[in-house]
Amino acid sequence: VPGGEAPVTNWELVYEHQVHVIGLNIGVLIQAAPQIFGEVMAELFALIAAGVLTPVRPAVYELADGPKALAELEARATVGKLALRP
Amino acid sequence: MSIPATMRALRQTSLNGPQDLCLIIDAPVPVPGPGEVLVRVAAAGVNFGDISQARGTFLGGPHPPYLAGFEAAGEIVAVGEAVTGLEPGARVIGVGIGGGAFAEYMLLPAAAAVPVPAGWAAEAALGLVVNWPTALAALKPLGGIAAGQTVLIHAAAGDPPGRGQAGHRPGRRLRRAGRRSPGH
Repeated sequence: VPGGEAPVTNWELVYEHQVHVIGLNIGVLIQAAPQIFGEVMAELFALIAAGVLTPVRPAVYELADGPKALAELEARATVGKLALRP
Repeated sequence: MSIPATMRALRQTSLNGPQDLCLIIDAPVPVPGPGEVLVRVAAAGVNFGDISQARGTFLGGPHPPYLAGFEAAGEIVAVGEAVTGLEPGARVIGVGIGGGAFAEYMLLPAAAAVPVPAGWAAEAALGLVVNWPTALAALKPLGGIAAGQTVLIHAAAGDPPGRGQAGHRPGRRLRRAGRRSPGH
């Protein structure tokens, strides 16, 4: 969805584009396959303990600038994680 | 520090996007119910899902007016009944499906409150329960990526915020030649 709508039919997948498409929303995954999410989180903490995943340095906006932050995000004008500080 | 009755928060008043996200100063501070904790928000994470909600395209999203934001990190200041293992003072990060992260205080289900790693600032843990697991789930259990394969990560510099970047680091960990596309 973040990249826009991309309609593709099963006919196209069978005859024209023999590709494997997987949709993923983490909230849906948590509900539909909690055991997979649990495994992923366990691995994440292992990666943190191993020093692979390190603290994030988000671009921080004041709470009042939240609308601006979201507008810039929607306009693809930002890089990396954004945070609001209340 | 005592908990005030009202707080500042961002309220979405339409489905016309972030232009109708408004700062209010008199939002009631929520009270934790059974199984919930109240967090004093140190930093709230901005996600593409916030845009989707503001445009009305998020599955099962909130109806305006609603307090926006769903990812926050901060300190627990109150716990509801039937909460075990979490005490006021604990630093946690989590996603609250009820929203309201863009505020001074937010409710989280106790089961969704993950400890901020020791030594990390609260804001440094943003992404831990949204972007990182999304990237890792896409790469391994769903993507079935194996050593030696190549990963193309769309929009790795940006949005979903940090997710592209989040995908890139585990990708390197898996010793793959990650390739990042220039845009969405």
